[in-house]
This record gives sequence, structure tokens and C-alpha cells, in this order.
Amino acid sequence: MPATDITGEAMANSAIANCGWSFVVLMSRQGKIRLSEFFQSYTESEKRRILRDIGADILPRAPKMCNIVEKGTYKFVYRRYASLYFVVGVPLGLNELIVLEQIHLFVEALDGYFNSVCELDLVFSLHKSLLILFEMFIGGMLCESSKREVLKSIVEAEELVEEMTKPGEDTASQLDDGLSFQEQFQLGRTPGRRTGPAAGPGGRR
Amino acid sequence: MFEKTLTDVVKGIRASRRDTSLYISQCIAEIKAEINSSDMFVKANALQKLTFLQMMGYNMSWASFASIEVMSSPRFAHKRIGYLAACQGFTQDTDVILLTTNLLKKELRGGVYEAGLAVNCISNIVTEDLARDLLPELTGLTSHPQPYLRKKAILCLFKVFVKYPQGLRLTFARIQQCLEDPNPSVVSCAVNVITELSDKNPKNYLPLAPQFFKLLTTSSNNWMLIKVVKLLGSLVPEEPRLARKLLEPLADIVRNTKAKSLLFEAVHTITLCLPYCKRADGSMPANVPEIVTLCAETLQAFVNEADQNLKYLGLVGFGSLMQSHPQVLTTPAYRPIVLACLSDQDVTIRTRALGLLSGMASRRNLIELVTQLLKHVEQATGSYRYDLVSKIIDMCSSEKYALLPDFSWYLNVLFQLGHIQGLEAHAELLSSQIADVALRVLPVRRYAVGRSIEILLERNGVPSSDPFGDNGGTTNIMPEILPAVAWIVGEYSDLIRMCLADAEEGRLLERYKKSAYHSIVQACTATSNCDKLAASTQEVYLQTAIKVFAAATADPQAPEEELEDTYKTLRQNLPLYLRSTDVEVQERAFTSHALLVSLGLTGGGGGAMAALPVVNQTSDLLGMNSTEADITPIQPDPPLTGRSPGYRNAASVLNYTTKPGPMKPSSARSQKKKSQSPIGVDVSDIASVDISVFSSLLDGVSRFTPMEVSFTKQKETLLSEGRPPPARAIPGESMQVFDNSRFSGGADSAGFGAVSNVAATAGGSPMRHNDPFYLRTNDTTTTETQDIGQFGMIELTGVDGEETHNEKSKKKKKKKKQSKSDHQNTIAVGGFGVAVYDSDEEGEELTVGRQAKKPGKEFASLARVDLSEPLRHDEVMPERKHRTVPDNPPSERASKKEKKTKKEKKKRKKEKAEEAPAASGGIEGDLLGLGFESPMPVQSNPPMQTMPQSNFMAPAQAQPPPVASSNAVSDAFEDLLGLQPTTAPPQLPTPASQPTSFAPANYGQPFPVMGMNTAQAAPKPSKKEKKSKKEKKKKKSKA
Repeated sequence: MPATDITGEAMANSAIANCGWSFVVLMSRQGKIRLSEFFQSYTESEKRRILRDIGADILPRAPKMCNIVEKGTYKFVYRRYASLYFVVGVPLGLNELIVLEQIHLFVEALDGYFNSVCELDLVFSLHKSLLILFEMFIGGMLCESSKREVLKSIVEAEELVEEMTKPGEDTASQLDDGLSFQEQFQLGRTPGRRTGPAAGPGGRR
Repeated sequence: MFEKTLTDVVKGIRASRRDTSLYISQCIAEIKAEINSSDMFVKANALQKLTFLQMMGYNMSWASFASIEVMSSPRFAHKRIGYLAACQGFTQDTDVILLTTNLLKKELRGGVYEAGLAVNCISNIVTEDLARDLLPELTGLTSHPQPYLRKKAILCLFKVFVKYPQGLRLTFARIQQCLEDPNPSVVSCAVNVITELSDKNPKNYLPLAPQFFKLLTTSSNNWMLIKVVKLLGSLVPEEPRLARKLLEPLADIVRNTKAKSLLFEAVHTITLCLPYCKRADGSMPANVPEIVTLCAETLQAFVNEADQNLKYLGLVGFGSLMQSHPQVLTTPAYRPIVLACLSDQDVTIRTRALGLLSGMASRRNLIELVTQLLKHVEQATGSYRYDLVSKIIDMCSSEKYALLPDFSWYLNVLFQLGHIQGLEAHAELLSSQIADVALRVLPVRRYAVGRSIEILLERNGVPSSDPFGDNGGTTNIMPEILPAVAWIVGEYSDLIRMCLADAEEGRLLERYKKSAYHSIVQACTATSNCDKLAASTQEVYLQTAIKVFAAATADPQAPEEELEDTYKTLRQNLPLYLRSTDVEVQERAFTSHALLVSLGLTGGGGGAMAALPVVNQTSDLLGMNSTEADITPIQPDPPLTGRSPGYRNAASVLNYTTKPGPMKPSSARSQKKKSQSPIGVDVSDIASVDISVFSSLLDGVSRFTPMEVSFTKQKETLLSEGRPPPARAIPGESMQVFDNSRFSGGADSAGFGAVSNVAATAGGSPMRHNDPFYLRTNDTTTTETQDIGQFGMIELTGVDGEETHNEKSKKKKKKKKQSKSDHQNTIAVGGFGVAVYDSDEEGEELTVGRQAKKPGKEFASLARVDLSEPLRHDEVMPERKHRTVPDNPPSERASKKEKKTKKEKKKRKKEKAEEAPAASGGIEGDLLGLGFESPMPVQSNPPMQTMPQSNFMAPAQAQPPPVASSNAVSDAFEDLLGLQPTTAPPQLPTPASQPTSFAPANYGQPFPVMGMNTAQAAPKPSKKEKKSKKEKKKKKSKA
């Protein structure tokens, strides 16, 4: 069995664990939640408390204040884009700047996907933003730091959807309708393809 | 019928601003109907909507099973919806997670994106069981040809380790290999995971240090470098030699990198390394000072940045740099920077800057620093203000006031803080500091007394003329500090005369020079105090009053008139306090009053003497008529006329009884001893009571006997005058004390001794109860006694109800502990000390356990994993058995399946009833139940032929149901859910006929699982076409 005498020390260490993001919440200026994902298991009441704290502690902050709010055993690191706050909860030991950069990376990926993303995009396509989030972060840890890679894999997965769609069904709702031609071109897709009907009848071949 | 799409729902919610909740509840009602639909499109759509609503705070736990159904759909579009729903909706307690094991296994072996989805999902929902079961697959994925899956799998493994720490030992070699991966993002992910792991238990990863060191010096990927730097930093405490080696490369990074995040991480890690840099012989490496300067400069640049984040990080960096080099910030160049941050509008930055202050303070600059901080205190608000004040006090008092150059200045600061409103939370701290300084610093004691008198008088409605101008006029000092102030005045009342001599022109004290004693006593016993002040303050006030009077009698310069006035005031005001509802106040008032009376100062000898003969009679009478004695306390208003020459004579007695000797500043150890003495300060050795002190008293009133001294005499006069008793009943307790003394006192001297003892005890006990100085030790003693009392009580009940307790304990777990401690108490009847100790220990253990659990939580067990030991033989991949011996399903697995079966049975009782006959007539009911639910039996031989992989998760079946074999095509993925394969081509169920059933027909998609060989799927497109046509038809008909 593992040595037990190291437990105490390890406990002390785990108190300052720096295990990626604990949660990420996108909140609008009005306090509406646009996206929330908890990478660690929280109880419902804990989640509610966190959301309340975000509303109380972060939304009123002036734009020139620093983007870090310490909160006991964790801290909020947030970034504001237009009227939308990207709030990330991280353990105290984590480098705040890297978190800020990660947030920005995520926003860039969203931007690339939706082609200049706005809040409405996120409201209407929660699933896609979540998929992008999962594509970039696994268990709160950054998985892919290249925006290109992320978009590529997302689009490839979307193509898989496209092929699987029922013929005659409105493919637009399942497609990456936000992607500009330029983006599609960059990603190696034939622009305009999504306007036509999806792959012919039949499933995968 | 058209279902709303997610877009419709979102639009609807946005449109119905008024009654959003109504609209949403309608939506949820629709979703509840749709989610049971047989059409996977409808179901998936419903689930998608529900996932959206879940994010808005609505519960979706009831749709867990539907999520799994959608997850198992062959369509990638549906799968995505299902997996997302699972990610969002599942918790650790979701019971249906058990059902996902096989599904996930299969997905992990399937196509790239399906596997990606599954990995995402696992990282979110992983439980211990899932972690154990999926470990082999995930480990396998780390060597997948696609880097896309490799990196995902590696990250996911960390989550798996958290739940299943044993897995770390099994797969760590594989993760280590990933560090050599050709794909940089995979390496980055591996570094990421190892960094996280090493955070929990660095010891395990020391052998990897060289590898990381190489990465540090060669890699240019900033994302990864940050992690590498962090990792190496976490290894340093385990291997101090590493620290010296790291300094130079890190300094290089600091000098060269442009990325602020990496820059900060490098500086931060350097600060972590610095404490370990010392060589074995105690010398520091030559480059340390240079590197410290480099760090300080970098951090200074951070703090000076306009960007608030960098400013914050700079302050954080300084904080950690100070741990090893505390003198860094004492350089005057840094002070304005940090002080500027104190007035920042952002509280985060202010708090951080505050943390640095204590490092900046030195004996030379402390006063200046604190003066600046005091300005901030006035402007500050909220908890920051509290932090500020505690910081000031902390800075001044740290290490026995080592940095403090001027104590009278410090007293002024304390009093000034005491006058600021809204700092009540710090009142206790402030008052203990004031008392501490007055007690321990002899030179400022006189000053402290002077200031305290001013505050006492100022409280009495007299406007003050404080030089700081903070307590003049409206603002008073906070009442919580008053006990400390009063105590100082009382305890050092012999200094009052000197204070008066000191009093400067124009100060408050100067005006009272003539009648300071009287004014103080007046302030302390003012009738308005009864309403205004807390009982605890009143107690100290009374004690102060009598002490001040004692000092006045001893002061040769005090004019007789003042003594007379003081005495009158006391006699007038004390009876008021006898009526106090607070027992303690009452007792003290009573003691003081009785002391004054017993000294025969009742205004000349005549009155008291005259009453004597009656006293002797009534003492007898009282003995018989005890009830009357109890309810009639002393006479409140004896004749006050006539100047007593005894004031001066009483001085020795008064001073001896009220003041426990001049206290000297004593070391903490001796103070501790003092507090341990059972009764009080002076009374501890009763034998050495100095009787000579009373000689004058004894001479003067030679006719007094102890009986006469006792209060019964007063009672007599009271009775004779026929006055109603001013206070009833409650003084009973205190009277008892006196009764005792009366009865115990046989001889004259002994009687006085007893009386004085009582008075001294009363004098000592307020000190122990209310003295700010003794607050801490007093607290502990009182709690101890309380504890003892409590245990005694428990003990009693324990004796009574021990048996019942023990019986109950079987039923109630909670009570178990209680009864246990009861037990201990009953055993230790004679020495409850043991019992107390035991239970204390128990409590400690409990708290330790709680503390340990809280931060560690789920990482605790992960930290315990030791990678240094080689793998033992019995440590194998949990699932390996299944692979090597696919024909023998291990019993554990089987039992799990049984469990599943049971759960499903419950859920699907209805459907079973419906479907059982329809699905296949040939099976008997019981077997059907199993075959219907459990994934294993359904998977029959034919699919095994087509898909060899499925062997892994499908150990051979105990009883292959005949149905399955009859339909080889359709059941390829039924094992995912244990859905019943259908024999007949799917009949389209009309919504009316089977509104709630699961409609197995639709699961009978003639497709094997996604991502399998396409060759396997080849023979089925025609069917698919048929199917999709049917779907279309259905849609049309629906429409």
C-alpha cells in the first residue's frame, strides 16, 4: 500500500491544488446565464451559491478593476466581452494570466466558429458553444491550444452530422450555419456546400 | 404535430418576458411528453431543449434515462445531443450512470469523433466504477494513431485517477511515454496531467525531473512551458538541490520572454525556489542576490503597470518573494508604490497590498506607515476596513511590540481607533491591547491612566478636548472598550494624583484637577449607567469606583470635602445597582456597599454605634426568621451627615481589600501561573492575611464583633425604620456568602479576615471575569469550568439513562458517540478530568478529520498513491480478466448487471408487460426479464462474428436468449442498453397506441455502432433507406 505518512503533507498540497478550471460561467450584464459548465462535481446548492456570488461580486465591478476576485478557496478570473462576462473559477494556485489567455482563446474559437460571435449566437446555439468548450477543455484542463485545430475538429464532426442527417430534413439547424465562407475555406471545406441538400439518401458509407 | 425546436423555445422565452416561468413550465410539460416519443428525432430534440433549460436552472434528473437512450442512438447528431445532456445533467449520484459503461466502452473503440464525445463525457461524469471499468480503453486511446484522441484521453485519465487512484500506478508508464510523443499538443497535455498529479504528491515525479528540465531549456511552447515551470516548482520542496539548478534557467526565461504569464510564472517559481537555495554548508549561491534583484525589479514593473491584473500579480509576487527575503520591501523605493495600491479602488488589490505592509514595516518607519494607514481607515469601508485595523494592530504588536518606538503614541492610536464608528468587531482586540500596554509598559502607565480618566469623564457627558480631535463632541468611544479603560483607572488609581499633576493646560483633566476622584466615582456610578451600559461594563465600573475611593482615601492631597462627596456619591448610587437584574452587578454593588458600611464610615461614629445594641438582639431574631432575612438586604440610606475621621483610617483596609497589590509587568509564563491559582491574586494564601492592616479599624471600633459587622445590623435598622426592601430575592446568593462568613467567623480577627476575604474574592473575581487583560486566560478557565459543569450534568443523566442509551445506540448511530462519552463520564466519577480529556481528544480527532476531508476531498486518495514502488503481481488492469477470459464473466460484473436489471425492471415494468408478448412469444417470462434488460445476454453469437471487438465487453452469455439469434442484424448495439431486439420489421407505432412505451422498433436501427468497420455496415443501406422512407411517411402522417 502507499505510504500513509505522506498523507498530511499531501493534504496540505491539495488545498492549493491547481487543477485547471473548476467551472466556467458566461453571464450577461443583466445576470442571465448564457452558458455554465462545472468541471468538478458540485452540489446544486453549491452551484447556486457560485452563480449568486458571480452576480454579486463580478457584475458590479468597474471596467478598470482587475479581473481577479479572490473567494476563499478559489478565485474568480473573468473577462468581459461587450455585455458578456466570461467567468472562470480556478483554484488559488493557478496562474491568473494563463486563465485569462485561456478565456480569450475560447472566445477566439467561438468567434472563429460563429464568425464574429455575439451574445445571441450563444443564446441560440448553446450546444455548439458547449461542444467547442469541450473540444478545448477536458475536465477543466486545456486540451488544444490552437484555435485552428479546434475549429477543424469541430467542423469535421459537423460534417459527420451532415452526412447522418435525414434527407429532406432541414440541415441548416444542425450545421455550422455561423461559419463564414472565408472560414470554411480556411478550414478546407468547399464554401457553399451547406446551402445545398445534405448528402444523398442513405447513411454513412 | 410539430415539436418546438430549441430555437423556438429560446425565441419563446425571449418573447414572453412577463411570465417566463409559465412558458418554461409549458415547455417542460411538452418535453416530458416528447421525451417518451418513439421517434428518436423527437426525443433528441426534446432532450436538447431540456439541456438548455437545465442551464437556466431547471431540473433534468428525471430525463437521465432518456439521455442514455439518445446517447446510444446510432446517429452522430443524436449522440452529440445525448452526450451533452449527460455531461450537463448527470451527477455522481445519477444511478443510470451504471448503464453507460458498455456504451462508453464501445464508443471509445469506435470512430474518432464518437470516441472524442465519449471522452468528453467521461471526464464530466466519471464515477469510481466507471473509472475502473474504462481505464483500459482510455489507456489504449493514449496510443491511438490520432493525436486528437491521444491528447483527450490523457487529460481524461487525470479525472479517472481522481476517482480511481489505483489506476495511476497501472498506467503511469504510459503517460510517461506520452512525454515523448511526436505531437506537441499531446506532450503538452501529458505535462498538464503530470503537473496536476505532482501537485498532489510531488515525491512520485522526482525521477521525471531531468526530462522536464530538458523541456524547460528546449521548448518554446509557452502554454507548456508554464506548466513545466510550475511542475518543477512543485518538485523543489522534495528535492532542494533542484532549486539551485533551476535558478539560472528561470532567470533566463525572466530576462527573455515576452509573455507576461510565463514571466510571472517564472518569477513566482523563483520565489518558491529561493528558500531552498541554501547549500548544505549554509552558504547561498553567488547569483542569488542578483536574481532577487531581478525578481524585485520585474515585480515592480508589474505593479507599475496600468493593467490592474498585472498590478495584482505583482503584489502577489512580492508577497511570495518576501517569504524568503523579508527585507526586500523595506527599501524606501517600494513604499510609495505599495501605499498607492492601498488607495486603489479595487478591493482585491487593496487587500493584497495590505498583506505586504507587515513586511515593509521597520522600527524607523512604523509611525509614519501607521499614520498613513489611519487615514485609509477613515475612508475604507466593509471588511477591508477591518483588515486594515487588524493589520495596524498586528504590525504594532508583533513580536512583543518589537517595532514600536513609542508606546504613548500607540495608545493614542488605539484610542483613536476606538472612537471610529463601525469598528465594533475589533473592540475586543482594541481593549485587550489597551489593557496590555497599560499593564506591561510601566513608563506609559501613567499616561494610560490619564487618557482613561479622560475617556471615562467624557463618557459622562463631559465634552473632551482630545488633541486628536476625534472624540470631541458627538462621537464617543465604543462601549466595548470601556471596561478596559475603567479597569486601568481602578487598577492604577494610585497614579491618579500623579496624572493630575501631569495634566496639561487646556486638557480635560486639568479642569477636574480639584475633584478628580469625585468626578471619576460619579462617572462610574452614575445612575444613567444602569440603562446605557452593558452589565459587564457596569461590573467593572463599580469595582473601579470603590478602588478609586480607596485611592482617594490614601491620597494625602485629596481634600476632606472631596472624600466626603465621593463617599456620599457612592452611598447614594450603590443601592441603585443593588436592584440590577444582573447578578454579577448586584453582587459587586452589594459587596462594595457592605464593605463601606462595615468600615463604619456611615457618617461619623455616633449613628452606627447607637444602633449596636439592637443589632445584637436582631441577629438572634434573624437567625430564627430567616425568610425575612433573605428578602431584606441592607439598609440603603444610613445617615450621611457628619464627617467621619475614619476616611483616612479606612484607607489601609480599603486599599488592602480592593486592590490586589501593585501588579508588575510579568512574563507570560508567570501570568499563566497566576491565572491558574484557584481563587484570585492575593487571596491565594489566606494564611498570610495581614491582620495588622485592620488594626486601626479594630482599635477604632473596638465594640464591633464580627456579628455586628455583618449586614444583619443593617437589616435591623431597616426593619426598625420599616422601609420596603429595595431589592428582593435575587441578592439571596450574595447574602449567603455573607451568612457563611458570619457563621464561620468565631474570633474577631478571623471574622474580619473572612469578611476581607470575601471582599477580596469579589475584588479578584471581577478581574478574572471582566478584565480585558485576563480575557484570554479567563475565557479558557470559564469554559473549562463550564465544561466540567456540563460533563457533570451529562454524567448524571448518563447514570440515569445509561442502559437506555446503550439500547438506543444500536438504533441511532448519532447517539452512539454521546453515549460513549457518557460512559466515560460515569466511569470517571471521581476524576472527571480524565473523562474531559478523553472527550476533548475525541473532539479534536473529529475536527482534524473534518479539516482533512474538506480541502483534500477527492484528491486525498490520489495523493496517497506511491509510484515509486514497482507494480505488484496483483496489480493489473481491472478489466484485463475480461479480455483474456472472455468466456467467463466475472461474478462481480454479473452482479452489477443484476443490479442494473433490478433497477430497470422497476422502471420498465409497464413496458415489459406490453412488450413481452410482442417481442417474442417463445421466451418464458423470467428469462425474458433478464434477456430483455441485461446487455450481455442480448448480445448473441452472430454479432460476435461480424464484430470481433464486441468480445471485450460481452463476456459469453450464460443463457443466450433465442430471440437474439433470430435477428442477427438488429441487435448489434442493443447490448448498450439491453434493449430488446425485435424480430419483426419495425412496426410504426402510432403515438396514440403507445404513447409512453419505449417502442423498441426504433432502436432496431439496422446499424452497428458508429465507427465500426464500414464493411460491417455495408449490407444494410437498403434497409436504412426503407427505414428513412418510413420515417418520412410517418412524419407526413403526423403532419
